[in-house]
Amino acid sequence: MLPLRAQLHIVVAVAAACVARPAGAQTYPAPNVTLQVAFAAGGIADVVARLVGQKLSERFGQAVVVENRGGAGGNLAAKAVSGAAPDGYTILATTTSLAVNETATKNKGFSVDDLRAIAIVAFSPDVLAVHPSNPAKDLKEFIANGKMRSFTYGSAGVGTGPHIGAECFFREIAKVQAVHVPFTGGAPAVTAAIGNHVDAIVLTLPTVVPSITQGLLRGIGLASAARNSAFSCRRRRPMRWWRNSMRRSMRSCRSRRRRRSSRPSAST
Amino acid sequence: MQEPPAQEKLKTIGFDVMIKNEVEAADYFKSEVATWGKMTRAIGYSSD
Repeated sequence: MLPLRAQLHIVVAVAAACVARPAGAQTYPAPNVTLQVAFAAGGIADVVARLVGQKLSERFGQAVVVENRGGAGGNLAAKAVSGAAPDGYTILATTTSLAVNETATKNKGFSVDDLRAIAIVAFSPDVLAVHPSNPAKDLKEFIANGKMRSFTYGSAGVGTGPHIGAECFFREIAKVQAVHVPFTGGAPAVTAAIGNHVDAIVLTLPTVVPSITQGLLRGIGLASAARNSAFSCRRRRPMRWWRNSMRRSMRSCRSRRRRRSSRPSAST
Repeated sequence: MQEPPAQEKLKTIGFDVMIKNEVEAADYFKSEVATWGKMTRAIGYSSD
């Protein structure tokens, strides 16, 4: 069975040759540490990376320089850090893209074996959201509608985690015909969904949270077995949770089975 | 990142904190590479 991941992880890594406790560890870090972020400033990876940089800076008692080195789906920064001196002064902050690109991009000039993950600091599930006018109120209804006609869904781009995860889910699990519309980032995909130019979007949750909370979009599926804390304290639940959809689906299957078994057979 | 204010900041934007030590992080990342590899191959995606 195909494994399914639909979560973004923020990964912190160093060059693979970097030893855990380098010579001169007592004086580490002597010069400034550089944290290279694999994506543009202002994005969700950047927000988390800057928080990590701030905490490292407080711990070290000196500045940690955060550099955004976006490009090639995160490969530019990963390649730079994999080739950096293995002294612990150059650190990579990236996302699940590093894992995706290992298979998807052969000619990237480095391998994940050239890097060593030293921390996974945060994760966030992908979310399926639709325009409020969409007739589907939850994932079950959305998939049921999708079985009757094909639909479009937007993502932040080809090869992003949400694109790969959504394709696997729609194609291999839900068995519906979904047409992928790649955008140049999460923000334009959200804009298109708000304008009702695509039937749905699949993005990492932080990108969609503001639009869902403002009622501009309706979240109908969250790729998580549990509620996400971004919504857990709200009085009115803006999302119908995947898990609840699955429970309802199982309940209706069970009740159908019970009805069938209690029905008198044709022969009596 | 284990400090409550940092965790709270991440939670408000839709992230959950994942605390893994170095060995756990390396192992977890290896499993992520394998899983995403299977998914990427399943849909036939390549950026080359």
